[in-house]
This record gives sequence, C-alpha cells and structure tokens, in this order.
Amino acid sequence: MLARAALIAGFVASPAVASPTAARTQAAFDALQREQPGVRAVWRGGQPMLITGLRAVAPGASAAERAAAFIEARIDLVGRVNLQVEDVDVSGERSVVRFAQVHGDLRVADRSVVVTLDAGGRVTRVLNDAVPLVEVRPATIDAARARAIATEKVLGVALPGGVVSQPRKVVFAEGGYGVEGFLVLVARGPGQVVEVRVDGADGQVFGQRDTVLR
Amino acid sequence: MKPAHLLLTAGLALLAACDDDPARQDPTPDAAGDQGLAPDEGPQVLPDAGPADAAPDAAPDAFIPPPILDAPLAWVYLDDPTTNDGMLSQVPLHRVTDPEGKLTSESVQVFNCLNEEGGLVAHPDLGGFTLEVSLCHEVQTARPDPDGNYLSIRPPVDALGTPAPGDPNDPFAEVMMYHHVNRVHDYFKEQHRFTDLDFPLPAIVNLQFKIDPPLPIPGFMPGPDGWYPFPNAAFFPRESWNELASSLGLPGRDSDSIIFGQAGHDFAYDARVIYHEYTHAVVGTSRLQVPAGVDRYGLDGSPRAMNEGLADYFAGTLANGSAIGVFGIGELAPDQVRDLADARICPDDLFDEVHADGRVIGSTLWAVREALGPQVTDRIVFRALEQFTEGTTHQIAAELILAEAEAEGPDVAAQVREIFGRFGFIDCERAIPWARFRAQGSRDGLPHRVEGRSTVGIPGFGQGVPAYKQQYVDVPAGAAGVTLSWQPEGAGAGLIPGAGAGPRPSRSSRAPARPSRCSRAARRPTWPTPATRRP
Repeated sequence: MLARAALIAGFVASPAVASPTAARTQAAFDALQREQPGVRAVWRGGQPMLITGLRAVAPGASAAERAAAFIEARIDLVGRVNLQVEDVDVSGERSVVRFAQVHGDLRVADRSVVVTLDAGGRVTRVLNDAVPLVEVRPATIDAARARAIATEKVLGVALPGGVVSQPRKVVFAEGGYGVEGFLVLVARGPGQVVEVRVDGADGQVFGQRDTVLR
Repeated sequence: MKPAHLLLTAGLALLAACDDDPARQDPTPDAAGDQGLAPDEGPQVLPDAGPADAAPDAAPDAFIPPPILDAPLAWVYLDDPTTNDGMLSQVPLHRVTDPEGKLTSESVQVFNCLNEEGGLVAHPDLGGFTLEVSLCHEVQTARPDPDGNYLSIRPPVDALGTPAPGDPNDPFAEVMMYHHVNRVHDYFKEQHRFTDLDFPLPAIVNLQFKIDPPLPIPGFMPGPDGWYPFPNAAFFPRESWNELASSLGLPGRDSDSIIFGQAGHDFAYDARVIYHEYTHAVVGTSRLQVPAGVDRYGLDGSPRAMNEGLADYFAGTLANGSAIGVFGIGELAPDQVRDLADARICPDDLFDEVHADGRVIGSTLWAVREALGPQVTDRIVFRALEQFTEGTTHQIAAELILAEAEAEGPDVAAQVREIFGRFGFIDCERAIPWARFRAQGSRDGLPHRVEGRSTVGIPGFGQGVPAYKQQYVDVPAGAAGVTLSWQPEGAGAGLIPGAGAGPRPSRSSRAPARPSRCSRAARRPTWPTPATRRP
C-alpha cells in the first residue's frame, strides 16, 4: 500500500525546485544556455523534456556514439538513466538516434530518448521521455500467470501461453517509481488484439489498448 | 457462456496465411482496342457502369504467357467511386515482380480473400463448445491480359450492367490496392527518403469470415450466404497478427500487414483509406503508441490521436483532398467522414476518441498546408514525426514541427506558430466550462471517454483515474454550493475507420453528486507535473 501511494506521489508531485536534483538540472540548463543562447526547452516535472536550438559538438565515430557522448556529458540535464540504442535512422543530411530506457535488462515501457544530429554530427535536439527511477518493485508473478490474468480480464477465461507471442517482461513507471510487469497480447474479436498491462507485483491489470489501428 | 462467447469472437480472426491457388490463372482477356496505349499518354477516364468487354477466346492449344510490361495499364478510381463520380481513370501500374503477373511489386503483395472453400479453418478450443471459424481464401487472382495490361479488370457489374459493389471476390479491389499502395510507398520514399517499408507489404482485400454455427457478434451480422461482412480497414503490426493467428492455431506472417474489408461496399475502393492505413505502417510501433499520458490537466490522449490524425493528414495531402473516407466511411456513416478543412480545436473538440481527437492535428496541419503549400508542410511534418517517441503529445509535436519550420525560415515559422495557436495545437489548456452535455447531441455524436483503473495503462492509479480534461464552474458570489449530476453510458469499440461507435447506453445510474464547493480556482490546473516553456 505504501509503495502504491508512493507511485501516485511520484507523478502528482512535481520535483521541488529547490531539490538538489532539480537545482542541478536547472544549473546544467543555464550553463548550456550560456554556451548556446539559442537553446530552448519545454519542461516537465523539473526536467527539460524537449531541448531545441542546440548545436553541440560531441565526440564519437558514429551518430549513436556522438549522441551517447552528449548525454553522458550532460547527465544532469538528461537525468541519470540507463539507455540502450534502439534505432539509428540516417536520412540524408541528419541522423535520429533512438534510445530505450532500461532498468537492468528490462525495457522501461513508454520511456525513450531521441537525439537528433545534423550533417556535421552536431547534436541539435533532444527529446527526453526518460526519468530516473528511484524505486522499482519486483514482480511476484511469472509470465504464465500474467497471461492467465490478462486473458481472464479480457476474455473472461484464463488461457495458457500463446504459441507465438509470450508476455514481455518490462518495467512500468510513472515519475521516478516503477514496477516490474508484463505486456500481454490477447486476441479479442474480429481484427482486435489487445495489449494488456499486468502489474507484476500485485497481479492487477491496469492497462488495455487495441494494437490494431484503423 | 460468456467465456465461450468471448473466445468465439477471438476466433473470428479472419487472418489466413498466404497461400495461392494455381487454378486461378485464366484471366479474362480484354478487348483488342485497349492494346497499344503508352503509359505516358495521360489518364483516360471511363464510366464504370458497363459490362466488362467480351473476351475473345484464345486458341485452346496455344497459350502464350502474357508479357510482363514495365508499366502495364489498368483502370482505377483515382480517389473513390463517390469523389470521382463513378469515373475510372487509366493509369500505368508498377512493374510486377511475379513472373505470372500477379500483383506483387517491391512494395506490396496484394491478396484477394475469396468467399470460397480453401481458406484456413480453425476450431478454437471453447471448453467443449465446438465452433468452426472459416476464413476467406487468400489468393492472388488478378492476372494480366494477353497484351500484358490489366485493362479488363473493372468494378463488378451485374448482368444488366449495373454496378455491383458488393462482390466479395472482385479482382478490381486488388488492382486498386496495388496501384495505391505503390503510389503511397513511392510518396514516402521519394519525398521523405523513408525506406523502412521497402518490401512487399502484405495487403488483403475483400476480407470476410464465416462461423458455424452462425452466432451474433456485436457489430457483425452474417449475410445470406453465411459470410460476415467486415466493415473496416486496419493496420496490423506483425506481433498482433501473429498473436491472433496463434490463438487460432494458424501460421503467422513475418511482417506487418494492412487489411481491407468487404461489407457490401469495398474499403479497397477508397484510395485515402488505403493511404491512411499505410501511414499507420509508416508511423510504426515505436511512435505515438501510448494510450494516455498524464499532466496537470489529467489524462492526455494525444499520442494515439495524433497517430490517427497524421494518417489522415498524409492521406489527404497525397490525394490533394481534405475529405477522408468519403466512400469507405461515407457509405456506412456519411456524417463520420473526416474533412480536414473542418477546423477542430483543442480543447473544445476533444472527445477522447482517437479518430475524433486526431482531427485536431489533422485540421491544424491542413490549415498549415493551405498557407504554406504541401511541399513545405509535408516536409516539416514528416521530419518532426521521425523524432517522435511512443508518448509524444500535442505540445511536444507542435514544438518539434515548429523547430522544423524554423529551419525553413522565420516567415514559415511565424505562420505555423500562428496557426498552431489558433487551433490550440500548442499551449492547449484542457479545461472547458461545465455545460450540459449529451453524447447524442455532441459534434460527432460521441461521448466523453472515462478511463477505468484496468484500462488507463499508467501505474499508480489504483485509487482512481483522472479524466482527460477538466471542467470548471463560475460560481456566483454567495452561492452555498454546486450540485453536479451525470449519467454514465457505455460505448463500444469503433467499427468504422475514423469513427467510434455511437453511444450505447448500458447503464442508467443517475448519480447525483454530493453537493460540492467549486470556485473559479478550479479553472486553474490542479494536476501537477506542469509542461511550461522556459526561455
């Protein structure tokens, strides 16, 4: 109960401006802006979610290396998160590097950082959906149980694991608080496949979305 | 029986593996008069109401395979039967890569799902309840005429020459799909250097299914022949298709796919519906997927809504027309056709249904397109899209598009910013005055969506879930309190592309709220984690 309350508190309470983390972030942004007056940011929860107007040189032999080097050098700005390169899209004069936030070997659902670089390899934009995790509750159920919970919720009957699609273990997070859990695909109705989110700690379904777009 | 019934619906997955039928290799030759037209002679227009030309018999022992032309000719609707007033246009198709002339190119592989024996059959395990689900039979039926063109393939007509749009097996749907998927693929590749879909994307037309015994399924009614019409079109991510297939014990696919139903009218006849679904494939599964985020106003459903809105925008810009689904949607629900020239503004026009809310970005970008032209607008929008995440919101999308606009020059950026502000696409405060609201009387007949603890998708809402927007009440000075009352209604999943289902009252529990005090302070956002811009 306490952990769940903390989860709620994690998103309803924006970090106090005076907190050490927020102060470091603000100082890092101020320093960046002194270097590059054209820099702007959209803030969320005391952290710059989108930084534009950058022209930042970063070392590295590839776009992914430069993007990673930029993040490392500006860790107070981006936040102390574990990232993993997910995709590099090179199209003509620029590159877009997509990082997934990870916690241990688990992907953090819905959390990523996208770094854009120009033809000269300079970082021009950073879109940051990642947030440092201060607490992650471990799962107490396994994938098979998660699938049974999900199918019971969606179809009204617990089913064993699918042949092709197995539940994917991830971390769900809001604010700095997370919980291990499972993404489970469940076929429902003509042309409808629902992604069910199961909290691995308490076994509750807390999300359902149709993955088939019309 | 509820579990069995629900499982039954899961069994209607329609999704057959790709097999092919070598018996279907006898194309109807076209009249000799269609031969010899060069692709660059420009489009020709033909009314579609007329029987297909009589086919001259080929010599029985002298079958010569048709040549594979670089740009074989075919008749298509440039838009759809309604927009084009029933007139067909002659266009050059992409060269097919199949040696028999089946409609496969480097960008698409078109299958016709025929209402006939031969499709895959599944017997879902319903706990003792026996049920047979028959899928239509996926076949590539279209073949070139003896001269290598496809001009003999036209919309179906009956014996009197009257259009018969409900033909569940017509090969004209294949030709429409082939032409328009190649066209939209080339648009993204040539205009935006997008190469992720440089493979033959499976595209299935004339989708229907059959179950035995026939049972009622919400939104689906079997026709006289026992086949269930499928009134929709969709983009299927690979994992979703394969989950569906595996639940039926059927083979999966190794790529994403797009599917188009047959429901007495053919969704493949609407080019903009094809472009819409294809754009979903372009957006992919790593962008704009989050059902809802949370900010100071409550839930923000703009990521998934923008997935729909961008699919509309790119469909419209490629077709150079603002109305989406004139035929595909309009034949079922004319009032649900989405015209991007019809301004939708945040927060007034947010109903928390993805297609409806997608009209905010769709109409905003259409206004930008009207101001700047398609070249610049398409470019800045696509370049911004490339940087979107799973959870990018209106606010962040607007800022990214603005950043791209700035790269085009200050005048462009100024115009974009002005339009974004006018449509509430940037800096939108999702708070509206409390007013009497009835779903049936709302702009699109839609209710406001209310998420539950098991649907919201964000951890930590075990004690309650906020709404998608706030409503405020101006209370006169001296008022002792305010009484709010509401009547919740259920609503089903949308069955029409771009339209949520109409409201279906499922509960009538008038629930007068406890008298509560409201003040103008309620107008101020009360949900923290603010998104504010700093210099």
